[in-house]
Amino acid sequence: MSFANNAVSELAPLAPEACVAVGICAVLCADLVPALRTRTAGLWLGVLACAIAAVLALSPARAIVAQMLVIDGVAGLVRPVIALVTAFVLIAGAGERRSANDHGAWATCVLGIGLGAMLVAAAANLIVLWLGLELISLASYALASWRARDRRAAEAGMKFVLFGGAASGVMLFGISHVFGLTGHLDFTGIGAAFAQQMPIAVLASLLMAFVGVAYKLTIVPFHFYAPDVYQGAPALSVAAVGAVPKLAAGAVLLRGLATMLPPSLVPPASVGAVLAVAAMVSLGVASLTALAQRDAKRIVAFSGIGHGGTVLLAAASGGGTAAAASAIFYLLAYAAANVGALLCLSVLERDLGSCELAKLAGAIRRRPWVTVLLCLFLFSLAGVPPLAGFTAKWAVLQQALGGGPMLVAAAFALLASTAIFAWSYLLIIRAAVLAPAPLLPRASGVRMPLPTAFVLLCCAAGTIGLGLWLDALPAIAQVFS
Amino acid sequence: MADFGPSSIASYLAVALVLFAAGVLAIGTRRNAIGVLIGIELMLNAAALQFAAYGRFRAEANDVQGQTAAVFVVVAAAAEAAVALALLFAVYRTSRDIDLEQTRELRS
Repeated sequence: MSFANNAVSELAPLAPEACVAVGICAVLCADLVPALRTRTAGLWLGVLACAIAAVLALSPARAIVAQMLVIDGVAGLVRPVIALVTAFVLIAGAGERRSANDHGAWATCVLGIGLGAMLVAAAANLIVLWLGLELISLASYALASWRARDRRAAEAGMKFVLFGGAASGVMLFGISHVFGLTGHLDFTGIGAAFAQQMPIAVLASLLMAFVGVAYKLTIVPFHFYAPDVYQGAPALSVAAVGAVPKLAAGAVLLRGLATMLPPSLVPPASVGAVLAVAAMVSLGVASLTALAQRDAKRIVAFSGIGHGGTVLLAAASGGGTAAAASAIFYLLAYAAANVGALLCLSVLERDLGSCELAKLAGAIRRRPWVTVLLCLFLFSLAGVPPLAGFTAKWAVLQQALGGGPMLVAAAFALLASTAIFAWSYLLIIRAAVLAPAPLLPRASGVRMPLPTAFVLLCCAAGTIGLGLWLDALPAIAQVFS
Repeated sequence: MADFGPSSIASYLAVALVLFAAGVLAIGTRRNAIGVLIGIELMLNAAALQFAAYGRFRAEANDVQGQTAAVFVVVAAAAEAAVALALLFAVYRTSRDIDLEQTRELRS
C-alpha cells in the first residue's frame, strides 16, 4: 500500500498530463457513440480536458519526477500555456465545417500534440524527450495531411513524415551514444559526467541529439519540411503543428543548455557563439527566401523559421533567468500572433479557395474584420509597437547586445531580418487589402462561426495585451528564479 | 585494434554503425518513398541495437536503462512506420505514384 501511496504522491505533479491523456481516451470513446459522432461533442470534451489541465498546471509546486520529468519554473509557465493554446485550437476547430464527421479524430490528434508538447516541456531525460517529440510528430503527420483526397495535403504529410523520421533517427542515434559514453540518460547525470571530463565524442553525440529539437524549432538546416507542410496542410492544422511544438522545444532547449553543459567546463560564451551563428543562418536564410514566396502560408512558414532562430538567439545569450524569460516571452508572443494569423488565413482559405497571394485579392471586402485582424497579427510578427512581437524582439535584442561579439553580430542580423520580413508581410497585406479585385460580394450570407470569432478575439487580446504589459519580463524572470 | 566477437562491445557498435550508414544512404539516394522509409527504420534499429549493447556491457550490472530504451524504441518505430505507411498510401491514392521526384506540387 505504501508503494501505491508513494507512486501516487510522486506522480501527482503530472496531473495535467494525465488529464489530457484521459481527455484523449474520452474523445475516442465519445466517437464510438453514433449520436455523438456527428456532432462536435468529442471536440468540446477535449476543450474541457485542456482547460482543466491548464488550471492544474498553474500550480506553483515544483517537483522532480523520477529523474524523468522536472516541473521547474520554465515548465511551470509553459505547460499551462501549451494546454491553453491546444484548447483554443480545438475551439477554433468547432467552427470548421466538416463533411466527414471527423471532429473526434481531429481532436484526438490535436490533443496528442498538446500532451506530447507538455511532456517535452518538462522533460529532463533524453528518452522522455525523444518519446515526447515522437508523440508530437505522429499526431502532426496525421494533421498535416488531414484533407482526404487532397493531393497537396497528402504530399505535405509525406514530406513531413520522411524528413521527421530521418531527424528522429539521427537524434536517437546521438542519444544512444550519449548514453553509452556517459552512462546516463537524465540531464543532470549527463551534466555531472561532463563535469569530470568532456570528450569531443560526447559533444558530437549531444549535437546529434539536438537535431530533433532543432527540427521542431524549424532551425536551418532542419527547416526543409516547414514551407511545404504549411502550404499543403489545412491552415488550422498548421496552427497546432507550428506553434505548440515550438513552445515545448524552446522550454526543453533552455533546460538542456542549463543542466547538461556546466559553465565550469564549457564557457557560456563559446556555446553562445555557436548558437548565435546557427541563429544568424536561420534568420538570413528565412528572411531572404520569404521574399520569393507567392503563398501567404509559405511566408508564414518562413517567418516561423526566422522566429525559431530568434528563440535560439535568446537561448544563446547566457543561462541567466533574464535570457530564459526573454526566450519564453518571445515564444508566447509568437504563439498568440501565429495562431491568430493562421486562423485568419484558414477563414480566408475557405472563402477564397487558396492562400496564394494572387487569390487573396479582395479579401478586405469579403471579410473585413478577419482581414483587419490578419494585419494586426502580421504587424505583431513583424515587430511593430505596441504589439507583443515588438516587446519580445526588444527583450531578445537587449539580451543579445549584452553578450559577446558573435551575439552582437546576431543581434544586428535580427534587426536586418526584421526589416526584410516586414517587406514579406507587407506583400500579404497588399494582396489582401490594396490589390484590385473582382467585385466579390461581401460574405454576409456565410456568417463567421462563433467559436472561430471567439478564438480570433482571444488571440488579438493576447497579442495586444502581451505588448502593453510592460512588467511581463520581470514577472516571468521571477517565476523562473 | 579492438577484438571482435560476441563478448566484445566493438562488434555490436560496428554492426550498428553499418546499419546507420545504410539507413542514411537509403534516405539520401532512394527515389521511392518506401525506400526512404526503410532507411529511417534502419536508423532507428541501429540506435536500438546500440542501446541494448551499451546497456549490456556497462559496469553497473543491475541497471537496465539501455535495454528499456531499446524496447521503447522498437515500439515507437512500429508506430511511426504505421503512420508513415498510411500517409504514403494516401499519396498513392491521390497521385498513383510515390516517386519523390514526381510528387512536387508544393513549391514557391
